[in-house]
Amino acid sequence: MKVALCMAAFYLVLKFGVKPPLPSSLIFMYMALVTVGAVTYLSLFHDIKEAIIDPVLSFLGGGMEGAAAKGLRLIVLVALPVLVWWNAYQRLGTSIEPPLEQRVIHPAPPGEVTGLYNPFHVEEGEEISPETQARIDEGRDIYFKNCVFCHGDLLDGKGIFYHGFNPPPADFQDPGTIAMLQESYLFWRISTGGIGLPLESTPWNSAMPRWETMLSEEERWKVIMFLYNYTGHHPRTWE
Amino acid sequence: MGILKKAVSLFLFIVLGMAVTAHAQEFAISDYRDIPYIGSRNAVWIIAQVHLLFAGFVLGVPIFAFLCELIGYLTGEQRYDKLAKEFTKLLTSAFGTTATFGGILVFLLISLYPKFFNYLTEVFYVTYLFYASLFILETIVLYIYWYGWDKMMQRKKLHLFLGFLLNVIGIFIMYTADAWLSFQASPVVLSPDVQGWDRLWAVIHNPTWNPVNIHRLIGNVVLGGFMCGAYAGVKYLSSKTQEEREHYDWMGYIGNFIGIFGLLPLPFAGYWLMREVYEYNQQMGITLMGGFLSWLFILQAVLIGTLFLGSNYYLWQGLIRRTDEGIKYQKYITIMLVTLLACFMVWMTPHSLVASVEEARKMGGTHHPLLGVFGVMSAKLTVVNIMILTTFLSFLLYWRANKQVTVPWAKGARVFEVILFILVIIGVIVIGVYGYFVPAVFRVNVLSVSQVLIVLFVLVSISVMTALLLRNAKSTGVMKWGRMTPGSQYALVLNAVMVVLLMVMMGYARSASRVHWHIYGVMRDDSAYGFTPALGPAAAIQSLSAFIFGAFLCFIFWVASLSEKKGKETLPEGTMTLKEGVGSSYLYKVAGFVMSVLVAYTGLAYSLPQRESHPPVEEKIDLSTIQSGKDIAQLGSKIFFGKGQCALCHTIGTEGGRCPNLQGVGARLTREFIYETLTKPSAYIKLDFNDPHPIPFAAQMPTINKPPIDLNPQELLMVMSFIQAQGGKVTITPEELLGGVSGGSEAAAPVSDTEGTDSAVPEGGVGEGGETGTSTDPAVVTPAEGAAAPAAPGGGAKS
Repeated sequence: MKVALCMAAFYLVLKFGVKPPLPSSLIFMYMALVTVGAVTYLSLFHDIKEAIIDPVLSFLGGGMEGAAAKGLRLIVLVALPVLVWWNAYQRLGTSIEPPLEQRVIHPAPPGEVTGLYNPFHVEEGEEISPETQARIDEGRDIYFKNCVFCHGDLLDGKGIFYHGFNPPPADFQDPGTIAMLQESYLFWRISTGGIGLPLESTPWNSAMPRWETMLSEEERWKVIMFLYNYTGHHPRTWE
Repeated sequence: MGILKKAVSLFLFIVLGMAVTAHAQEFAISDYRDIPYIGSRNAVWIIAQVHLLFAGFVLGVPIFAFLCELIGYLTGEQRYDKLAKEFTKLLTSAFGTTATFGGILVFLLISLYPKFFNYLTEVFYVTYLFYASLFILETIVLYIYWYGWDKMMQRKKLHLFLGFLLNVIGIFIMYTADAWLSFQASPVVLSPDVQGWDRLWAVIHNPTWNPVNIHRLIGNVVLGGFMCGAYAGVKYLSSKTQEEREHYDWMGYIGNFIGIFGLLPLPFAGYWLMREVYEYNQQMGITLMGGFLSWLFILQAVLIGTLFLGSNYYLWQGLIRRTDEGIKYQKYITIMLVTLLACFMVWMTPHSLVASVEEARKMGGTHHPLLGVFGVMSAKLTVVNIMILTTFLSFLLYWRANKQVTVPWAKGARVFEVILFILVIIGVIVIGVYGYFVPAVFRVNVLSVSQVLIVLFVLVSISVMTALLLRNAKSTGVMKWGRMTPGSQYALVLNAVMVVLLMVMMGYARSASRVHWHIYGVMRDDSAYGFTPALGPAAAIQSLSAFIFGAFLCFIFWVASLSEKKGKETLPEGTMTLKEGVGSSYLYKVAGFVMSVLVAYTGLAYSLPQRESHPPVEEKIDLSTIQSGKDIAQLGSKIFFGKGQCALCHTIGTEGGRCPNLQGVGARLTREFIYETLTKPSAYIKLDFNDPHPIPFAAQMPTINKPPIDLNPQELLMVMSFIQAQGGKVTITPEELLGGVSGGSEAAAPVSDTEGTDSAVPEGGVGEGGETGTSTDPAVVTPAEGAAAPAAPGGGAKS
């Protein structure tokens, strides 16, 4: 009983306690684990047969007397088939929801990209020279002419077109995006855009244009410098 | 006249056609062959997997048997010796099965992947002979070890030595095979000048060889332990007498103990392997951890988490049932269970969640703003460390059960232990949280390593302390064997299935990380199976392999039990018999249980995103777009990073590559020198300045215009212009390049000269680089060369 209450409480916390709400796949996963935990607990300290199976059987089989038990039994016996029917109906009916998002978010870059190097690279902690500052400024101009509409004027992925896209434009302020990537990775994503994603990341999903047809190589590197400079992140290094 | 003309052309047509077919027939050596319906890749996959599982079993069980025999010898307890013997008996038949599957595997590889196997043989043939002789030795030692068991009862030391020898040979066998497969993942450069033993050692000692060795060695101990546990579990369920029950209960305990013993350090070894993979090639690392295979690690978390849960569950059951007052541990066990579950949840939480559009919209992307923090490496490593500590705690409780400590410093030790555990758990979490705020390099190299070291320190120091503490401890009761519930025995079986599935799944991961290469960066998989299958279909094949392994293993267990069945029919008078007919029905139940676990695993894999990884389409080079030297360099960069595979070793601008950094080399190298280094890499002897006395060594670079890379003259010119463009002026002109296509110009002629004689210098090249003949002998090293060279001694072999 206590265990069942714990499980129910945990479910309610997951469902309503976490803001923004969790996707159902995650809740399902957590609840599956909690169920495993409950069974483990019961089988350790109780006899499963005594604790669960026998009461259930006796309840359903009419072992319990009294009007309350009788009414409850009736409700359960009616509700179970209805639940099954409802579930089947839900699954078979067509829905306007697009299918679940299942793309590889962070695909491995092709080999020809991993060796690329920013010709204007500035080491972390290095003083920013006037030339570098000029390049960053140039990158800023390019950003606000081309990228701002989706990625936003605060570089947080909330540009004016933000609502129209799935997946949403990348949020560069998030420490989980550009701070985890190398400059060459950004260069690849900017250059080839959504169309250049490998098959496992479903190219038609991302609306990112193929900037190599519009920006020169140097311009792309300068934009990258601006992204890091503005957000205060540093590109990932391996050595 | 017209007829004659037609007749002649017809005749020519037929003759030429015949010549072409004859030519084709004579030289048609297939690169690949296929098995219809099954597919060559699937056939090799399943056979290799079953072979490997048996190999793991055959190598893991001797370690297990040797340890048991040693314990039996040291403590004088006969049952350990009996246990070791029981398992060695299984070895003899399992050994034959392993060899059979190995043989089938080799035949399949030769017939289905001849090109690849030919290459591997070219590189490794000496080790084949070594392997074969080791195998003969292993067979001899194994048979003496097994058949001489009873004879050598009086000469136990000799027998133990044989067991030790058996393991040493077994380890060498595995290390040899590891060289072949780790070479596929992280090949070293084969330069024509490093030959003989040096070359052999270089290819064996490739960057991931040692991590794979260690990881597999520990993994085999785990497999051996948990397989023993499962065997004991089934036997326990089917035993007819209380005496049998007690024996198999005890056996299950030992198996589980050794399994956990190996399991605790295993994540550390896996982490080391992963690090070496990243260091070797980050594309491979990203494919594994962040890209195509990242979902696989959710499956891995489920399997390992279940393994931790299963083995802890067994320990707790033991604590409750085997001791008289087990229920007093309820509080601790509940806390540990909750801890494990919480860690399990964090570990399983993916970074990018599977969410419908609406859900994703609410979260603002596929990363949850709160739980997203659980998705990254820092959190996962932290919870794994806590899970290891919790398991260790369960084990400690079990160890100290039924014992009353008598040493005077008992109380102090207890307080110290509690404080140490709390401190360490807090410390591990703090380090984990700190990991979010530092660059990845620092986290990987410093924080993760310190977490591991702290946990290892606790494991060792507390073990030593407890051993001292329990010396002369008063016993308050004995372990009562044979009282375990059936559920705990299923947990043992479950653990074994998990270990097998883990091995099978990570085998897939290791192979899939090579993407479309047979040998990474060297030999491409051009067969119809060059793509990597999605998780679901892959899991189906993995489950099938695990099932075949289990079926064969059951057969072996059954065969082994045939010889001892005789005495069982007549039980001695007065033996307490358990419920009749219990035995056989449990076998079906266990089989059904294993099957449903396999099906559940496959189903889980199908519920994750299904994506195949296809090899990239090779871009066609359009020569008509070439206007200037810069365009040629542009094309050259494609070859440099693509077909030429130069970027696997060379970097441009960043340090840390395995070969010289090529930034700015265009400014200081002549065109002739560039050509020569590409086509005759060892023409210059470099000096290794890492040593006080500089050591001369030949450049470890493959000849670029010969197989396997084999650039044609045009491509070679493009790469050369790309190198020149690194800080220098491109002197290769479009005319020269396009002239090369017609085949008549001078530009192509020298390049196509594969012998690489002194005349092999491109047009305009009688400069100082022309005298290549002399430059081979003395150590011609310019300071600039020397500065670039030290990064490269031994190629990747030493890094």
